Amino acid sequence: MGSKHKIIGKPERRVDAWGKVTGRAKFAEDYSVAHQLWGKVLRSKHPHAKILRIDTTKAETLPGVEAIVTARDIPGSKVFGIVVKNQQILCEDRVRYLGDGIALVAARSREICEEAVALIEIDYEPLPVISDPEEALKPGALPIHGDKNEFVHHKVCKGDVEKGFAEADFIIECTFKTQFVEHSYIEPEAVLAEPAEQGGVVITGSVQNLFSSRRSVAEALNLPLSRVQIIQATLGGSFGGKDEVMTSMCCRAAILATKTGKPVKMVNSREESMLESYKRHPYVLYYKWGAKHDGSITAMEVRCIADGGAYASMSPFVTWRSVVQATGPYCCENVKTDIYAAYTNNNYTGAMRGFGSPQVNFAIESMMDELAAKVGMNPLEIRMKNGFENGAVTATGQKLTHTVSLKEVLTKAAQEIGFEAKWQKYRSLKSGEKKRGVGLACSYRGVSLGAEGTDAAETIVSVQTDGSVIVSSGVTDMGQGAQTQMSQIAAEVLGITMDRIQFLNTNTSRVADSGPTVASRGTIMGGTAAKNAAEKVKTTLLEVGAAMIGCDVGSLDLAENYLINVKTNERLASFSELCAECFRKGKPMMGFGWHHSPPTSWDEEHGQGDAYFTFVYGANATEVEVDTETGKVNVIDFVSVHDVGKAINRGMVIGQMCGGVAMGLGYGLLEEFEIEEGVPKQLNFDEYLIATAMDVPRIRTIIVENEDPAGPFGAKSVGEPTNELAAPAIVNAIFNATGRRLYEIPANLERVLLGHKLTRTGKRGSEVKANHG
Amino acid sequence: MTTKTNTISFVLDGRLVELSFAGSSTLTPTTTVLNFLRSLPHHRGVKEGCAEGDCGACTVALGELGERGEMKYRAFDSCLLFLPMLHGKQLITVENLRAPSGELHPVQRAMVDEHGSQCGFCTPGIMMTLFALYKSGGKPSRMDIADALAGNLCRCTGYRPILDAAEKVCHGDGQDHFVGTEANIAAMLKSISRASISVSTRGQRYDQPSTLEECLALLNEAPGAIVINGASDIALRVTKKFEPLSHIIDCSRIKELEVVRDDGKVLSIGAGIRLTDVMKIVRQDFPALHGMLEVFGAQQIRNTATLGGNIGTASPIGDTLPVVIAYGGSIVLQSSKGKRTVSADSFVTGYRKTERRPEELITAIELPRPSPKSHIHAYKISKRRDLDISTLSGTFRLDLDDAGTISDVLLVYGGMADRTRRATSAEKFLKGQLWSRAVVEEAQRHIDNDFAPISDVRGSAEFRRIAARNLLLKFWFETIDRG
Repeated sequence: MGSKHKIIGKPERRVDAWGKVTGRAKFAEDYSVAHQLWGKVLRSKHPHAKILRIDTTKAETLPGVEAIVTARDIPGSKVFGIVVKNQQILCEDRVRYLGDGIALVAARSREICEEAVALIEIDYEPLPVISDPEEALKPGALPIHGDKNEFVHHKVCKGDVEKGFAEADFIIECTFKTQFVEHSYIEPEAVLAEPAEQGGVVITGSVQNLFSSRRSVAEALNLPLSRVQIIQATLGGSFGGKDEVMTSMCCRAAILATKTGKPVKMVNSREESMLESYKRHPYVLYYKWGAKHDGSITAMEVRCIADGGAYASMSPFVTWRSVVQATGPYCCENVKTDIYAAYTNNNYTGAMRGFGSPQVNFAIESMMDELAAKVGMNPLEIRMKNGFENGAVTATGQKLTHTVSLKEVLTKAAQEIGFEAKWQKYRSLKSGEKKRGVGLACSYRGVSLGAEGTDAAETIVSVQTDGSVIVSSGVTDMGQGAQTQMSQIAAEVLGITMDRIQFLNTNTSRVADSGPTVASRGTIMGGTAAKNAAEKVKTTLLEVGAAMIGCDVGSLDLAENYLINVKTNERLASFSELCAECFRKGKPMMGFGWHHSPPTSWDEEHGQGDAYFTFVYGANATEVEVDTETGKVNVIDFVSVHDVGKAINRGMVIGQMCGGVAMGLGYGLLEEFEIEEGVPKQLNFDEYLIATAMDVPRIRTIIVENEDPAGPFGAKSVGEPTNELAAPAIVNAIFNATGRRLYEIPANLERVLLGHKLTRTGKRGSEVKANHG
Repeated sequence: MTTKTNTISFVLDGRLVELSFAGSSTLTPTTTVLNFLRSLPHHRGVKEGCAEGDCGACTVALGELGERGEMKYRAFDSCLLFLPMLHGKQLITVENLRAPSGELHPVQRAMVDEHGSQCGFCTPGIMMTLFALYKSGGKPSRMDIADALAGNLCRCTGYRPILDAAEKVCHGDGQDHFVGTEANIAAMLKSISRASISVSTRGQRYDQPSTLEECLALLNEAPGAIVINGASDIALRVTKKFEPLSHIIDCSRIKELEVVRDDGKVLSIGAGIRLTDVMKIVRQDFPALHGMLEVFGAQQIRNTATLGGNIGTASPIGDTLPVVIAYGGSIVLQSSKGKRTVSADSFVTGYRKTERRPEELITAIELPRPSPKSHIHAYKISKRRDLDISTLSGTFRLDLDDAGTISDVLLVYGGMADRTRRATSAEKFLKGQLWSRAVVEEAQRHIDNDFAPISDVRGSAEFRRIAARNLLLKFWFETIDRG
């Protein structure tokens, strides 16, 4: 199986590793040019207010200040947004959350920027602050945009839930709550915008989704797309987080650069980053299941409210994934799901690794354990009873035609940790200050964008006359290893070693709009495009080779940097010689690979359709130790199992699995971005706690490979599924240990010890260290 | 010795660097090493992730002369180091790790092979932590490695590939290209003047006396000056609040503050000894203090913070003072007029207020050796094990007579009031009683009366009350278990 490939499936070194371990890697903040100015944003002092007056006169006279910009100075569109265009680059008459920007300063130093921002005077008329999405949805609530705060309502309807509940032997109803989560990329946002020679701008920055940021910059400056060039600097983590916040920063820096005619650099401090950037949505989840004594489920009714915060951002798409996956990989004839998103004066919420699945998975997998407890089964049995198998039909009416490996991954995870014996043992041990428990969670996940939108990508493979190869793609690398994965695919197809390949950072002017690098679509989309591109070049090379050798194309292949005879393995010419010959013959040495996803469908009215062209399956199992006197939960063992279709690079797949679990562990136990009355409580890593090396056990990983024809060499995806299961597995393990279920995460000291969230005084943890004028 | 003005000397890139603050338009004595390095063209590998010592992306290594003239390497958060702290040391960054031949350092090679880097933003800092670990000798356990790395946040890898890399490469021999140049570097460091330093720039004065006498004289002249040693706390006033600290006295080079005295009855620990070294000193005989220091900040912080500093800040949730009180410890204060000793129990007089007079310096912490029969346990409750400020802490000392009755008891809590406080009515109740579950439960009710904790971002009053009670019960469980 794996041996048929030379490079695919091997733990090849990452193409970017050398630059990263030597400190040579150039991140956005590392770009500086002569005569650059610094840019800074003046942000709002109120979470919700009318702006009555903006006076920049004092700031303008400060020596060293080169420009002050307000919304009035934006020549084109003052707002942007992927779905709903309502996010303000700078606010003119109203601020809607504390991260909103009102004015920009460009000055000769950072210190002068700080001073100038403090000199800008703003008069506000505070408006009522809405910080609870359920309050926001009530009739009579002050609308934050337009005439109502509800801006998303997605549905799924299958069968008849009333009938299903009537058939049930019993009903389980639970309410769950999840928190705001900060992406916590270690690199804070940064850009450098330079006026371009022929007009327009060139922006180098820590941008995840270059093409959507480019569109907004072009609209703000009234420029054609061709005059806005965005180049991705090596990106210090994103996890879905460097999209709109970067679009906004790109627009601001570009406006300042255009106005001053000079390069402008902007860098967020950690406090500014946490204050302004969007978060993972908190959900309130109302789950009601009808079931039989044999454990089968007759009806599932789900209602969720997502806190969308101040702007629409990706909420319509995030909640769409939730509505599709809200009832999990479980068979049920009668399903009714409604998901709403509401505007509030909190940080706006958008894409974050998982994209609407971590919230619903926490609820689904908790419900599954509740159901198991009700019917006297163990958590593995109940999942094996209800879980999808080949040919299953999902809640959206989609028949699954790929290998449905849910039960395979579940069984492997349970066996690896010794689940059933431990579960039985721990539930009967009731004394002792430290209690142990094991927990299980599984999921299915739609791959790529699905019916959310157009799904296509480009990768270019350019062979040089000396046999070295340059690869570039519209799919971006933010640390996950997209460049290595695409390089491996190109090398495999071209029969060359990895050292021949140089990957270029994405540049919007040099590669086609490939959509956003989100939804774990990097490998399946960018990778397939890379394969297509390399295959085109290979066809040309073999034709040239056949002419050169004087034989049939069919008798030739490329392997180990040589043109070979497929039958004898005889080396006929080196890859370099072949490339030189190709150049002499005037043949094209560049392959443009395009991949458009297989079809999907969606009926918004009835909430039915083939939502995604394929799915992946994963299971997590964990063992925890709970200190019943302090509420401290230690994760002492963790098993992560994922069917990735085919691992292009085993080292990178394991890296994704471990990183996803650590982030999921934080979601379940530590992380909470608290906002009270529109004011964030945590603005740096002293109080926003992510897992350290001491918090994560040695994660045991099992890669399952059921190759899928939809992906390159059978590969599907791995980035997000790894992050969507740890929290429910941990909460289920705490239940096994203590007999007490937590309906809210994170399961921090207070929730585990007291069973509820603490109530706060008005005291702030971190000060808002970012400058507020 | 005469005081050197406005110049510091250290080794960077294998060369002796003299840095002058006079006439510099950009450098001040409170410029951080992070900002200094990032202003240089060839040291931009060092990264700013939080600028407060929480993420470790700015980690650098400092090479220092050991007692036998050998080089010792430790990891520091460069965002918390002021430039004069480099004086007499070798500053090592990720750019210095490769051999002159261009070959990767063993720790770099291991990180490449094990896929230890994903986005790579934390990688330069992690390289420096691993470098210091690699050079520290011994073969660290997986736990030791995780502990060393707890001050380096990584959001991508889940740490396993990094720990795998460290486990593979840290064999204890520490062989690399630094070995070959060590004698040269040591000679350069030895050539650097040990004299006191005084820097004055734009309304700011920074003194780094090299003797206790000079330091006390300075304090006598300028009692309002801010005294620092590791400055892990004070640095934030510069990096976060942009306070122009007008006069700083940096005690980090005073040898008299690094003295350990042990007469068999009392262990005296110099106030300027780094917590990393304090841990070695107290490991054997003061296990409760050692245990508390294990969860104090992360390694980079323990490499810079001192016992004197932590106690001197008088934070209500400071980690070490409750333990020192439980051991019956004292604080030695010295001024140019004389020396006095204050019981740790009465050292703090209010919210961040202490017995220390402005002209005095904390020079040592004295810990009487406890009787082998005393039970002393320290507990820290924080959301995260390492690198987290505690919600509350409890340190308890129990002496039982032969009949099993309580002859003496100390219940010291942090995070329950505006300062470290003892549960006095619970202590009073317990004395003379049998150490039994029923008595402990009764004492728990007294603890409730002893404190009126507040709710803040680290925990609610209700949680603190329950946890404070539970800690006593935990102590009871652990002491009866031991017989």
